[in-house]
Amino acid sequence: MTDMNLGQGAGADVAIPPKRAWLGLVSLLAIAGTQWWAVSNSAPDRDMGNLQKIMYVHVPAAWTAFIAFFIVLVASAMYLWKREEKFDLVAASAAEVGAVLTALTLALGSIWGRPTWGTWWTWDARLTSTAILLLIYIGYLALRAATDDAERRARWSAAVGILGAINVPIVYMSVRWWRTLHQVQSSPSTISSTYVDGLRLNALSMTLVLVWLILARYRAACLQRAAETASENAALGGRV
Amino acid sequence: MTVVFANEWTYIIAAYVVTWLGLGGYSIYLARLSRRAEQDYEAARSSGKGKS
Repeated sequence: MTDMNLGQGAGADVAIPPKRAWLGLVSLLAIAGTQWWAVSNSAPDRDMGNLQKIMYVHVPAAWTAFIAFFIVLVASAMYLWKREEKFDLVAASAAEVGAVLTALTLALGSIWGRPTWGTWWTWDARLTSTAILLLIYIGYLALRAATDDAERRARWSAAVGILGAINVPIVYMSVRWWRTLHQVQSSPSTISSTYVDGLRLNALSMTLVLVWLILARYRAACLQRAAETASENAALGGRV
Repeated sequence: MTVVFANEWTYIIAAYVVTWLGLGGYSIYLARLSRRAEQDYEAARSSGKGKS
């Protein structure tokens, strides 16, 4: 079975993309390498000690979740404009990957918070707005799962996808708009220059992982849609 | 003077283990999802050909 054969019978307005297993391998090797490099080359921080090393997974997970939700925003708007199914599938794929990365961000923040703040969780503006962001996109995925009609599912989820993405700048700015326990955003301009290279490298490798995960999820979504279309056509008399 | 937290390496190792479990677990889920969708698609296509 080849990818070309799969694409020919899809029936929907989407072509099934190739597998790209090499991208998965490259991105996992890249993230393993950059994590190893950053952890082994960063000196303990004056205030956080070695716990600073959690930054190399927590911050890139948060950044890439934001990128995923920006892709949801753009793809949803493109769907509402062009009404092409591929944009709906891109948005849904990015939303699922973004939700996974947001959950990971919260889990890592909790692990970091326990020794530094003395608690696993607090109703701080940054933590609460991030949890709301996750709930919005869990709602988005639940809405998709509960709606059978493809056109209606795409239209409704595009609306939720766009509204949900509005929460991203609120999450990002929450540490400046409100007095929070969470420190200001960790970026090359706010952290010690000692840690900038490690953070940049890990952000790049996590972005590569993001691209691979979205492409893999998009391929699975195209295959699922093609299977649905083929089943419908088969039921209507074998016109596949 | 640098601060040293109690059990700091336990938390650091936990963070990296959680990261790899999260990314690895989701990758495995995606691989299975794709394989099942490919099988469903092939099955639907075969039944369509049988009818035509």
